[in-house]
Amino acid sequence: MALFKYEVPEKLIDDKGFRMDKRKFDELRPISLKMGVLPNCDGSAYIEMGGNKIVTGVYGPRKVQPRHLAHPGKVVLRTLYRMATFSVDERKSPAPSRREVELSMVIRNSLLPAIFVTYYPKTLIDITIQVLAADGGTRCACICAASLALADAGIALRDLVTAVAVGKIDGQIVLDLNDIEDKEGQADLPIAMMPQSNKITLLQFDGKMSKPEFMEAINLGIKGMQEIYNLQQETIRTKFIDQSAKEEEEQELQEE
Amino acid sequence: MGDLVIGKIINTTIVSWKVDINSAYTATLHATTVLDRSFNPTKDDIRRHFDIGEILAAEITAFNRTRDPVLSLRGRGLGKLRGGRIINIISAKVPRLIGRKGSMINLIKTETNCRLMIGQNGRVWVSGKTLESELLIDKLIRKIERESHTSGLTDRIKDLIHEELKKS
Repeated sequence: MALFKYEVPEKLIDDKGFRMDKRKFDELRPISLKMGVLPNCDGSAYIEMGGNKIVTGVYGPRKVQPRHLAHPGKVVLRTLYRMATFSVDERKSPAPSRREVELSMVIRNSLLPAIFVTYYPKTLIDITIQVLAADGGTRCACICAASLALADAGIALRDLVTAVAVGKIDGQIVLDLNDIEDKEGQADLPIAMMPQSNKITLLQFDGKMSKPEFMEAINLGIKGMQEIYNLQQETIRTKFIDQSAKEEEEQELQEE
Repeated sequence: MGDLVIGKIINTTIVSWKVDINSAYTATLHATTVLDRSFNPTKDDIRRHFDIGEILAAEITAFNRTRDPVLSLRGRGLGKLRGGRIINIISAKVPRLIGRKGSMINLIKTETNCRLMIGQNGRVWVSGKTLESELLIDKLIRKIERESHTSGLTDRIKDLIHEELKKS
């Protein structure tokens, strides 16, 4: 029995066309991204996407241990997706679940096409993803953050990978589902892509949709991802601007 | 290939040294290339030349995806580094630390009167006459690493050196 029960409204979209968190059908949840948040890894990123709070860290390229896992011509990418026990309403068991293992694989597969794997033969890149708070669409938020962390680690990428979930609630196609919409809606469609080359790297589907609805959903997703992509690029830019601003402040303090 | 790196001996085999060069690959340095003659393990002891933990400046002579890096010590200034200190930076910032045609490194060398060696692997060896001068270089390198993307950095570094030298 859940100690905490969320209230599901009768309608997920009200008469004026607003969703339960006052969003329109094509609106994203507020997103904030940060790069370089962890001091002890090669690259890191933090994302808040609605109620999602996720930290990702990248280690490598480094030596493969045990040695037999190494590939002679490619880098080995290892992803670890973990949810904190307190990240969901009802305490999650700290043991790795089937879902976590699957999502690790899904995230790995969606990031791999963006990496120049032959640049780092016989090495390993580790991506650790820790979900501190989950609110639907964590895999998409994870992919966005993890690709930023890879960029922060200085790993050669074809493009940043951007992801968003599209879904169907109350018969309408909507962008970026939250937890309740995900659970109560009729369909859920997480997409990841590399916006520069317009290549989709992840496409999962759960629920029912007609063919025209599916095409509508994909196009809505691509529009949403473009927005996130701009944010990601902006985050990389601000990281460096912040650094030089900080340095100037320090100097001023020293002079005083 | 041909890159200068600063490495640390982490192991020895009968005829070669294994060198940590701050990368995902461990480099090998063969005894024959160091001694310029055939190396006889029954007569020579490899650790008498370089022992574990010693620091070397070396050049990479061979590396591809099937072969781990191979080092050699043929070249000016290459070999065992005695004294001084090692400063680690992100290897991507190495070109900025050297500067165009060595402008940044030459500036630091002439202004502080220290010996510097920059490895392409992100290790910098510094040896100065005083502790203060070595610490000053550490400070300069940290600043260059942080502000590598800003313009007019060489001039600001020059100002900072003059400022710091005036203090002492």
